[in-house]
Amino acid sequence: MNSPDPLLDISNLSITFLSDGIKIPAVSGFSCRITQGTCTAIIGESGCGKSVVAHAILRLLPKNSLVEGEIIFKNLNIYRLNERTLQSIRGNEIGIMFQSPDRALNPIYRLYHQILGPLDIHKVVPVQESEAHIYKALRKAGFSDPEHASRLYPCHCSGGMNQRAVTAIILSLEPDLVIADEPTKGLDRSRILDIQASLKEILHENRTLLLITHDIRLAHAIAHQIVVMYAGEIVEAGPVNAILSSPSHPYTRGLIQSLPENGFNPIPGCAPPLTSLPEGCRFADRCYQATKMCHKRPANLTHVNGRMIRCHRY
Amino acid sequence: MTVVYVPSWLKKMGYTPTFCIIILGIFVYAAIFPKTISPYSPEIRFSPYGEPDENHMLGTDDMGYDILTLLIYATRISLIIGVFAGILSLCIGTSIGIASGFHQGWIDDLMMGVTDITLIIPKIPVIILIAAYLHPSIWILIIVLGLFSWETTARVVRAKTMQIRNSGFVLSSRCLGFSSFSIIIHDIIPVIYPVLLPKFMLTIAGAMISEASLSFLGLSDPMMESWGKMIADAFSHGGFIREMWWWFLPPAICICVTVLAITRIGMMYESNEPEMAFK
Repeated sequence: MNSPDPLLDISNLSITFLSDGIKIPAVSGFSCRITQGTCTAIIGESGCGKSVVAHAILRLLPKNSLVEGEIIFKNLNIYRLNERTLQSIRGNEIGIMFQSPDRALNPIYRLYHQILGPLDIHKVVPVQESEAHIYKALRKAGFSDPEHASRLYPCHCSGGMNQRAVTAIILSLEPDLVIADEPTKGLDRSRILDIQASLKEILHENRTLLLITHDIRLAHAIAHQIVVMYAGEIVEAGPVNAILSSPSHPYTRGLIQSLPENGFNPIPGCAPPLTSLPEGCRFADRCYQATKMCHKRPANLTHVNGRMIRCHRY
Repeated sequence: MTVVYVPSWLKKMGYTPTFCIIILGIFVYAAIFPKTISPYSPEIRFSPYGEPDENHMLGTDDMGYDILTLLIYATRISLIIGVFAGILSLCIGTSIGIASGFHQGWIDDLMMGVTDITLIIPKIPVIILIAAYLHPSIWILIIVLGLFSWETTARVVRAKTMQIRNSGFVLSSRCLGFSSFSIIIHDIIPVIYPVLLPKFMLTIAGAMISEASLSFLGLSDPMMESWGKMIADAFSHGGFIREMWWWFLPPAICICVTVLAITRIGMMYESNEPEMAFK
């Protein structure tokens, strides 16, 4: 984790949305270093700020957002680049797979055209080879008959097929960093295995993956590092096996216990609204080990046994 | 029982739009190659005020020109004015609509302000004023008609652009590194095309009617024979008084039929959309 030159280095990222004069701190104090060829998973429940981090990396947040902190990609500060340089990075070096692939594809073009477009502007391969390249990407994404698949329109495809088509677009561009935003949302187990295989394919090619998911099993299967987020903050981060086998933070423990195979014990209560965060630890109200101090003072992120934990008990 | 073979494209398109396309096609053919179907050359003069007979299907006018020939040659001017005014208004309306819908902010405020002002200008009086002030010619007419008919297109395009701009595929195009310009060209214009076509067709129809009104008021190019000018001539040169219906009725019918055909073609996508989505 502490290699000298990480591919992506996010330090102290805070994102605040301004809406009708109300400040909504979506993410606060997010730091993360991602090295080449590894997979980092960000997990957490809906609304904890996972996707916002992904959008912030590509500078895609709406105008009413305030971003503080630094995002360094390949020694370039993303927030100091001009729009043109950013356009050459988007897709070409950082690819993002969105949630809801049905909406991410333009309904009026065949899949072939949708893959060809980005290939064309980034000039990934020479024009003569683009057709073969597209078929190769489609095959890698799990289409057994790429010629047929490339002629389909998004409305001909099922949700899972569109998800694979989006994966094919990203695979064809060969970006160094792939951000997968909920790639398995709403898919059944066999499709998840397909996606898992194509994500592993990305890692095999020594590319870097940032996986945003609430599928802990998927994270366990492919990630090397895991970052657990709660209400806009990192609560625990470290190597995936260590954290999932012996979670230290009460929230991580609760998450793992809420899995069906672990007895399906959900964490009582729900996350605090971002507009009125508690004064102390953000998880205190739902924590079974909370003390008086937890309700009074926010906990800091501390280094314990090779992992980061935000809890007063450590 | 006989089975009539209906080609699939005809079914897909619908019978009425196909019929309208054929009608418009005939007029377009007449506009491009009037020589091939007109009985005489437009320069030849016969005896004036002739009634329809075997030589002159629609009789002759006050100067002795064959009315059918004039009608065929007038198609060109009427269609040119309609189509070019339509193209001009489509270009202005689409650019303004997309610019303000896509960029929003102060550009949107400014553009929509201009659109609102143009929208409240009473069209026909201003067009009459300008056409009367400038030396009337078809190009002036095209520019004037085009410049005063783009606001509704701009409004519709802006609304549609704002809707598409926030859709997932525009966001993903941005993520894939497309510039705003290529997003407009590749993602927005093709998607709003079903809105542009009817707007374009309606503008053509509107421009043709306005042209007819202006010509009737004597504000068209005196050297160019259009359908509107034929009616105006029939009115001012004694066609109405002598009840020579074969002089003023055919151009009026031509205007109506063309405008109806164009409008119906413009509505082609509207009626077929729900069916076509599943084809």
